[in-house]
Amino acid sequence: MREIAPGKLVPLETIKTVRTCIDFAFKSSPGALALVGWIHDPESNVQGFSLVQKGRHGHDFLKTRTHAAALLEHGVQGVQIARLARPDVTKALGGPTSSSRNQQGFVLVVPSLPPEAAVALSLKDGHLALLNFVALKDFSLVERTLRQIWHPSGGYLLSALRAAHAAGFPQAQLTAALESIQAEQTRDAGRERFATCDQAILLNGRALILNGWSEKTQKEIDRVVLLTNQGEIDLTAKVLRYLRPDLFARYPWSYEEELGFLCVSTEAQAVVPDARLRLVTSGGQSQIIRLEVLEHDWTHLGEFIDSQPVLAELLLKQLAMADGLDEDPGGQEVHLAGLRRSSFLSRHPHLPLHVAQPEKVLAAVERAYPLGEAGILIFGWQLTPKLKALSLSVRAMDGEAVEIGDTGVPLLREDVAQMYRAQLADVNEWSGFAWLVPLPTRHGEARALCFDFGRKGEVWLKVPTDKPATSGMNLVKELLGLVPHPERMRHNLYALFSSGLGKAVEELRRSRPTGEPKIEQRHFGRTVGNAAVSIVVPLYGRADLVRHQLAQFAEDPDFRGVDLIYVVDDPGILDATLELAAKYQALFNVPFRVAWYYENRGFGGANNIGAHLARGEYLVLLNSDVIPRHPGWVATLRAALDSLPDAGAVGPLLQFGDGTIQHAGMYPRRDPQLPGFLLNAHKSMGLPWEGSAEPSEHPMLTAACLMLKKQAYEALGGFDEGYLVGDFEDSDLCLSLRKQGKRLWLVPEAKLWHLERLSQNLEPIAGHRQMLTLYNGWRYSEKIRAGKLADPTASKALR
Amino acid sequence: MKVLILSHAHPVFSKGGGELAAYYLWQGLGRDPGHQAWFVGRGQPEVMHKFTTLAAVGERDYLMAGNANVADLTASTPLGPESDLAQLLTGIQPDVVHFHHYVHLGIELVRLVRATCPNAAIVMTLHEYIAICLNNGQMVKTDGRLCHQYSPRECHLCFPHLKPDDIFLREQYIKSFFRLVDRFVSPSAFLRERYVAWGVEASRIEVIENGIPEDDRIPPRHLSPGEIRGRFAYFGQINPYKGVDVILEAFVRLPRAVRKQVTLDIFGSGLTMWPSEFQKKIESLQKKLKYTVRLHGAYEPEEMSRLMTEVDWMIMGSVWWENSPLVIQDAFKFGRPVICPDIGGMAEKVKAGVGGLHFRARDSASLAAVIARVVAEPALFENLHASLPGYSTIGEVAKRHLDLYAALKSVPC
Repeated sequence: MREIAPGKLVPLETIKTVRTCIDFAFKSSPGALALVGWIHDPESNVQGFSLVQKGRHGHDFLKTRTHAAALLEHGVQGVQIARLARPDVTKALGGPTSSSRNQQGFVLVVPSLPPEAAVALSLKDGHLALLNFVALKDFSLVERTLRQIWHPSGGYLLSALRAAHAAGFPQAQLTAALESIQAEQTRDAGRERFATCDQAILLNGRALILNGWSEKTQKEIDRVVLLTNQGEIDLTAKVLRYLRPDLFARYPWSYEEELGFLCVSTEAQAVVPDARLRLVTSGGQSQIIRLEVLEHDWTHLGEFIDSQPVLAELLLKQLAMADGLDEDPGGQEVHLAGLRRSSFLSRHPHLPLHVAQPEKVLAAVERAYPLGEAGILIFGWQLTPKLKALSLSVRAMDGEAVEIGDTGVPLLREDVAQMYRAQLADVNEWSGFAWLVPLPTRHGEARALCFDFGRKGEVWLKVPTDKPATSGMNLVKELLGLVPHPERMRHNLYALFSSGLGKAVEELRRSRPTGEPKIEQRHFGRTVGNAAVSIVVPLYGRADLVRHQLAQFAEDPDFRGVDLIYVVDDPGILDATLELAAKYQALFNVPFRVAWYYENRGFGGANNIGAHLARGEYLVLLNSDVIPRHPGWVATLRAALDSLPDAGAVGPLLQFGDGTIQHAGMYPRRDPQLPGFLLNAHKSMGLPWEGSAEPSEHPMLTAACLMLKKQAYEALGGFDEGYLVGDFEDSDLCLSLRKQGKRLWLVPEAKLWHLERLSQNLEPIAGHRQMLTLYNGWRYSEKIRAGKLADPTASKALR
Repeated sequence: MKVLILSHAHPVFSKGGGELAAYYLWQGLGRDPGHQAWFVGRGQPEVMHKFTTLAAVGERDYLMAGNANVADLTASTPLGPESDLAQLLTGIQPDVVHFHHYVHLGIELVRLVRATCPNAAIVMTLHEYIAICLNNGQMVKTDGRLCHQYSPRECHLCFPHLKPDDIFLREQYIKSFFRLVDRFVSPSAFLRERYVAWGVEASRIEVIENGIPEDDRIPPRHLSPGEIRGRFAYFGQINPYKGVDVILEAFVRLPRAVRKQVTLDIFGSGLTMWPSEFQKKIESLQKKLKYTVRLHGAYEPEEMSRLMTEVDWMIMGSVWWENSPLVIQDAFKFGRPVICPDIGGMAEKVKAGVGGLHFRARDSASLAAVIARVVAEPALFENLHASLPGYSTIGEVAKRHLDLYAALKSVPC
């Protein structure tokens, strides 16, 4: 059951557009409920059945304004919901007029109703309308009523009760009564009767549609012939047999055999009022059915289709194969498209998010992310213990369907396996899926996931496309958090990202508000005019590091002429930063700027903004947790960049507080536990520095402290902002420089402390943080594979 | 010479050894008509004006606001050239600015002074170990063990909410200001060694004992016939660092026959500021010793001479290293031998057998043995009394400082 927002209770009578009637209600003492009735809902106001919690308010609860409610869904905890056509209701309401569409019979069986709960209709506007009924207690009355509702609802009720029985519906007595009525009905039908035609419709006077069922299987029916006063028309080849769930109760073999029949014939235009259908079995049995032919136009047909969820898809397929259904040759296609759309839309609100039909499929759609043109990412799980679906597709209202051919990388779902272990013989633990389906989808567009079992029917699930509550990074974090047990699927994570998850993350990240942010800045101290060097320091998480850096910069005469820019990439520390800046500039007398934009754009974005503001020809990218060991390091790096051969960027030796190496060049690394990913490693990290003071070339350098020409940085477009939070931007930049033939030099004469534990890992390395890093790693590896970056593993000399 | 002394507290409101030493220095420098000295002591918010950070309380005697805490030592007052302190300094144009301690007022004041008075010599007297140790500068681990050396990794185990990098960063920050100091003064060689081990160059730290007011030695207490020298006294704050509980435990441990011959007088207050567990411990020990121990409450420095008259021995119990406790000098001045722990500044000032005796620090059984010994050996008192060392007077100490200032000023800054 899905919790929905608490709603306000309204009396059913006050809703003018909805009429309901309960034909039969039965309630057993431990809280089992069976309801049979119909809802006339021409404006589609009803969303479904809900359980409303009365709480401790007792009988006063009607006065309370809002109530917690949960939507009842088919299959959940044994709840059975069946919808069926009610020609009798249609007739009573004055025939199939445009105002009678969507009228539907229903059967609702709840095996265990929570105490203090009542059943209500959930309305589109969020209100709840209690269903009023008097549950029968006297069993003779029960039997009499059951007999009255046997046609057309009894079969559905019996099959619903049987299905619910497994989930603990206690009332064997009710089932027994229904079975005995069923036996009576079958006996009364007589020997000769083995088939029924439920509907005979003449569409536009051009095509005859016959829908019915026969207890004889396909093999047993020899011939189907339409008898008219102008002769016989043989329909045998046109008859399509399909599963009729409403007959499961009466004919248990119908689980396996398709007892329904459907026939569309355009040869039978000249049908006269007394047309009859003759069916002949291979055993020589014969039955003639008198047809009550209804003359329908497209509108009437639409209403009929909307009331026949089981039949709708089949019939639309059959009609699409027929010709000449409309006077206007182009009209047929337009009208069929309309029917398809209206059928889809009338079905869609009632589609479940979860189905449990062990004979076909158990599945759930748990979360979906519409990605615009890129399609839709769907999370869920599926088990098909007995059959394999012929096809699996996502459908849209106009009949567009995109097949999910490759079901991609399975996700581990221990929870699902746990839930069905008792019920199913063999449960696959890897039932989860994350499918990126390339059907362009925007928020609010109706989508359905369809398991097609051929003539055994289709199983449809709703794919929710509601607008998510969050956006940007939070949405990405939420999405990555949905991958269950990433630590148990390390072997397959690269493939998972490649199979669509990676692309989806990229799309969602892009979904944040675009456009250049409005940048504000303030100068502290005198403005540095002709600075040759600009130093960009992004701030995130803590502002106090500014104080520590300035204390060290104050001792370095170079900083009197450096264009120092602090970029506040964390709106939460803006006030603290400006306060610190004002207080400590007065003390340390190092001129600098603070730039901010009320956003978090990540490490790459913040540096790009800082670089854009930079006035110097030389650019130093510096982390806030890096503090110099000695004055003069800026000049040392600058001289190195000017003089070393083909220098694209230079970096200093970075040391931990205890003097050991934090960074002395970065190297590519593969982790056998994470096949596919190309990751970075800092060589000799944590070991004492014993290298020479001479510059040395390295495959990559960290951007914790990196100097390069501003022009070179901007020519590359700066850091690639596609990486999340702050990972791999530096190795990406380095490999872009190397692709242009530039070389990267470590200049150990310049030494700085890097206290990396201060700025990183502000959030615990939980599921999504690890997955963010792996996403970045995947993206980086893909760029190298695609040749967009130099391959860091290629040069043996630099390894 | 014009000297401005900045102190972490003002003795009018707070009677700690550090601020007393600073104040005595100010008084000593002011006695010499050839020199002028100013005193600026930190005052707690309750005694300050609302809209200015300075308040004059006497001639060349000021209070200054400040709330720099032990954790980051950062000043809470303005630090720019328009700040009250910068204005005061500009008006005085001191030749020397002498920091007595850096806590409370804030470590950044060193740079403020350097920026405002580029030609002044900056001198800093070090008191306990606050730059080195976050545990109130005691160099005692938060689990109670003594700490022997600074190490960000170990500090992190004492203060798990601070990462080793945070502690390292604090060190680098403090050192950036220490580099601006021309000369450090340490009242004990022991404290100097700890700062040298932490990274201050040995050549930059001079050892000068704190000075105390001059006074006459008091003759040993008059004994009745048959009476022994069994009167012990503790002078100082009653807090967990000072080890009053260790002293009380030692008295509880004494054999009944010994205990009958001794008394302990405790002069000092502050018990109520500490956790109730500590209060309960002191109270329950005191109950066991109700015929032996007397609590007298707070005292003024001027009372000391009178209080000492009725005392034979001075006892210290400190469970941390101490620096250069003034109370030891007081004991020497008035002619009373000292029984103290065998560590840190205490062991340095009181050599075993010369004016005093040691017990194993934090070990009440060891102290009980020492007490039993002095009761059993009456001659011991005479020997120790005869070997009592001298003390540093305010005048001597002021003279040593003036020599230091002069030496620094002759070197161009």
